[in-house]
Parts: sequence; C-alpha cells; structure tokens
Amino acid sequence: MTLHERMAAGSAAVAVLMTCLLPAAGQNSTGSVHGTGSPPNLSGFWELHFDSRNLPPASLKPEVAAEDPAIQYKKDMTEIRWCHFIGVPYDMEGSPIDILQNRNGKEVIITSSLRTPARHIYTDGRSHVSPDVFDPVSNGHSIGNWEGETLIVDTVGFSEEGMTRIPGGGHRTTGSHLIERYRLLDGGDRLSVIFTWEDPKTFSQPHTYEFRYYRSPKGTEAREFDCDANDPERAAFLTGTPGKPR
Amino acid sequence: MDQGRKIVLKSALAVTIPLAWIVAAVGQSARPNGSVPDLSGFWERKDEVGSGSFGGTLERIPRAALKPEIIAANREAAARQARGEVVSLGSKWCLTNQYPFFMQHSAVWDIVQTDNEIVQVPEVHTFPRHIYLDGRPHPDAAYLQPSVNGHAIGHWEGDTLVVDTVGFVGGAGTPGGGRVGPKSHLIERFRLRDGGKMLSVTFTWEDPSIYLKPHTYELTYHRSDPGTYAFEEYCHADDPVQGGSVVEPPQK
Amino acid sequence: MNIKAFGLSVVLSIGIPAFGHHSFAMFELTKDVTYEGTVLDYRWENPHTHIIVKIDPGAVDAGTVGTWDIEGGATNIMGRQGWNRATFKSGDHIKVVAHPMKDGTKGASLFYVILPDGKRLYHDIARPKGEGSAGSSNP
Repeated sequence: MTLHERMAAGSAAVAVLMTCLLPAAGQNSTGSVHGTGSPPNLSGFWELHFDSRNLPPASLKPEVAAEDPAIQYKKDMTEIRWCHFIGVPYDMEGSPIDILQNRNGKEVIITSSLRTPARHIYTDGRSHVSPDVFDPVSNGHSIGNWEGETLIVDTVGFSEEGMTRIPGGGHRTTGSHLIERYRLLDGGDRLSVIFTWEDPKTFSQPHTYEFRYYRSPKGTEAREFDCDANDPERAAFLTGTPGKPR
Repeated sequence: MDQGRKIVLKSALAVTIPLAWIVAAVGQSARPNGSVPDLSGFWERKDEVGSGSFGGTLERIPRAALKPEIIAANREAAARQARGEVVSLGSKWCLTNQYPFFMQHSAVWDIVQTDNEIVQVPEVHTFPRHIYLDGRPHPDAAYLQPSVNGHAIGHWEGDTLVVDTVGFVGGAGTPGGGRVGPKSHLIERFRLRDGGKMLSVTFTWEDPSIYLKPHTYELTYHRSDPGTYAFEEYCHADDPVQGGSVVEPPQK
Repeated sequence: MNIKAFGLSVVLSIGIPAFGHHSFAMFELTKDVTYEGTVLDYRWENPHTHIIVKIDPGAVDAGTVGTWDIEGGATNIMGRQGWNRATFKSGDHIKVVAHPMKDGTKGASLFYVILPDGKRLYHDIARPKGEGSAGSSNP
C-alpha cells in the first residue's frame, strides 16, 4: 500500500469511527439517546392510543367483587361533577401527559390536561414521609429510583379523593401501594408503564397492567381542560338521565 | 490535479466533514445543558420585612398606572369588600386560580427544568404552567387557545430566563392593583440570586385596555428546604363549609 | 367582560389567600389579641383550619373569656409553616395571637400560636410588623 493509499484508508476509517460515535456525543432532551452512565430521558408529551392498554382483570377480594358497581359509578361522577382532584391512576389517562425529568436528576413531574395536581416523583434518594404527619392526597407520595434503564416508582399515602377506580377492577384506598416501572421502547418513540397495585382491602393478589404510550408529535402543547362546578348545564348533564331533556 | 493530490483532498474531506458535524452536534448539546442556571426546586415567598398581615406583604409593590375606568371599578370593589360582603364566588365554587395568582400566594411552587421546557407546578387548584424553550413561537392568533396560564415561551439571555406570555383567559389581579385581561402581554425575567438561594422574578404587564403604561414589579422567592414535598390544596365546592366562615361556638 | 364584575374578582385575588371566600375586612387585621385557654376542637381541614378555644373566667384579658372559633388557613398553607394534623388535640393548652372580628362575634383570624418552648407557628407567610423572616422555611 502506498503512502497515499494509507492516508486515504486512514481518513476513511476516522470518518467511519466518528460517525459511529456521533449519536453518543449529545444529550437528546426529547428522545432515548443518552450519554454513558446517565439514565434514559423520559421527558416529553405522551399519549394513549386505542391499542395502548393491556388490562387483565384484577383478582378482587370477594367483598369487593360483590360490590354494587353503581356505588363506584356514583362516587366517580360526584368527583367529576364537583371538580374534585382526580388523582392516580386516572390522571395517567389524561392524554397527553407531559413528563419532565429534571435535568438535575432530583425529580420527575407528570402533568396532564386535567385540572388536578401534577404528580411529583422524587428521585433524590428520599424516603416516604412518615404516615404520622403525611396528609394523604389523591396522587399519594411518590419516590423513584433507576434500575438500569427502568425508572421504578413507589407510591403510598393515597387519599380517597378523586377517581379511585383502577383499570382492570378495584379501586384505590388509603391502604393502596402502587409500584410503576417506566421504560422507553422503540428507540424512545414509546413509553411502557407497568402498574402493580397491592392493597389487602381490595386485591387477593397484586394487580398488574401495562400502558404503552406513544410519543406525541413535535410541537405538542399542554392543554387545560378546565372545570366549573357552578355551570348549571354541566351539572345537569352529569347528574341527569342521559338523553333526557332538561 | 494529479492522483496524489486527489487522494489528499478526498482524505481531508473525509475527515473534515464528520468532524464538522461532530463539533456542531456537541456544541448544540453542550450550550443548553452546561451553561444555563438551574432554577429547579421548590420556591416560597417570605415576609422579609414583617408586614403584619398577608395583604401587607404586597403593599410595597408600586401601584400600576391604570386607566380611569379600571380605577373606578377597583374602588367600587374595595368598598364592597370593606363592608364585609361575601363576594368571592371563585372560592365558593373552587374555580381555577388564574395566573399570576400562585406567584403571590403563601403556598410553595415547584420548578422542574429540562432543556426544552420548564414547568411551574403550584399547589393551589389550577394547572401547571408550561414554558416552552424549544424555540417555538406563539401560535397564530387564529389558533391561540386562551388559557389560565396563557401561552408561555422562553429563552435564556445569559443567566436570565426571559418568558413571554400571551393568550390569558384573564380575570386575575396583579400586585399593585393591576389585572389580567385577554389581551394582556406579560414579560417575566427569572434570575437566581444569592448563590441560588433566592429567585427574583420581574413581571412586566402590558395591556392598553388596562394600563396607561407597562406595569412592572418584582417578587422574590426563597429556596425551600431540602426534602420539601408538594401538598395538595383540595377544594370541595360541594362541602357546605367551603362557602362558610367563622361560626361563633356555643358559649357554655 | 363586564368591568365591574371583573374588578370585583380581581381585587379579591390580589392580596387574599386562595380561600378568601369571605372578606378579611371582617377582621381587625391591625389588632393582635392573645387568647390563652384550652383546645376544645382542632379541625385540620380546607378551606380553613379551625381551632375552637375555651377561655375560662379569670383570664388575663377579661375580654377573651368565652369560646372562640380561631380560623386558620388551608392545610397546605399551615403545613408549610410547620403545622400538621396532630399539632393540637382536644384538651391541649394553647396560646394564640389572632385578629378579632370587628362585629364582636367570638371569632378571630389566626396570626400565630406560641408553643411552650416559645416557638411560633404562623398562619401563613405574614410576620409581625418589623419582624421579617428569612433563612429556613419556618424561622
């Protein structure tokens, strides 16, 4: 090989090598690419489509399975009619949700278009607040940690405020314990969230289901679905017989 | 050009082009990530001078230069309030608090910051406020959906986050006697102070239907203690006590 | 939008906490009265926490004898100032500084309580005139 040929071959090798290294060089704040040693970035708007849910039926305690469904229905409609906070898990269906993973690694926020508090997931190593002083809330108290590429979120401290119905069956109570696993799929285009509920009052065994969100298009904006409990037409619609004129 | 020179030229291009690409990409990622201040965390107002009451904590805000009809409306409302009338239907019905309400409230609020977006998360019953940093403009007026928090876009000028907001539903008041209307335009400047222990936010409101000239004021916030967590300020419009007040107990 | 209705809603949202559904003008905000007695009921709730306090005859301030409804703030406001649902319970002794009702009703707006160790728990961020706060969350 002549000198010139060696130079050409060497340059080509450098070019190929640089091209391969390029994706790892930058922090993509909207996608799955991340630098070595840092967790994946879940930030972005995420939405549920018709094929986003895998919902096996829950194994309910006999007394819960025997409950009149009208009771839960009435409770949920009351919360909607009076614009109460919604809480987990329903606010995870307030599509699109916006996940912001703080650049300092200490917190992840999940907002929805519903008028309900954002979820705060504290990833700074803290423990749950003592139940002696913690006021139960609709979103509970969430702490998170990374296991490789998966964000594990542990939530306790739920109140009974809001839409308490759990997908697949059962309902959130003050004794509920939720573990979620967040993981990017398809190169960052999809987000898998596996929910596992434990509650001795409700389930005879832990109840697990999975959502797979689709990343919303670039430029997606947050929506505000406001709520006016003083709107008489709204109240009449939500509390009346469907289709019956007022 | 002889063969040798062609090879050298091709080699140079083969190296230069990817290197230029890499430099551009690294530069793109290094500027936002490494060079802007971190505003994230919980922030709270404090009564730094001892004002005597919550209302007193806002008395030092300079008065807005308001149009005469707005001044007249303010006076009438204040007179009714002084007579002790129960006038806040918003509270009784748990209506959504409009921006900038939570910025002057006693409750803490949380900033979560990514490269493309900042969200301010209040505790009061309202929506989180999204500030888009990805270079998007405001939507065309024909497509702008008025909202509680308006449509907010931001960019960094050195260490200062400059936020431009339009598209408010309107209805909130501002310190200094001003108010927010559907045509109001807000420019805010967020800047850390005291080594990151404090956050200064300067608000400038423009609205020719309300103000005679832009209304500017500053509020400062203290970083909350580590371990601070968000509460939820629930509001139940169906609870009779929501519309109530002090009730003299039985005198046994 | 109707200017008058607009002005009304605006005035009330400027300097009044979220649950100022009643006008704070009903209280004498410049008058601080000390109520010292026994907690009959401690209601940790929204929109306002209420502490029902009974003050027996023989109190230092004879004008405070009776049973009072001391109204505090929302639980998140008070919680940030160091209160929680277990701060008081029925039977506890309490020393509270509050702004009385103008019309003589035995009710008052909480300013702060003084704990046995001298520490104060405030209603919200407001501090007595000249006693500004800075530093940690609840000095």
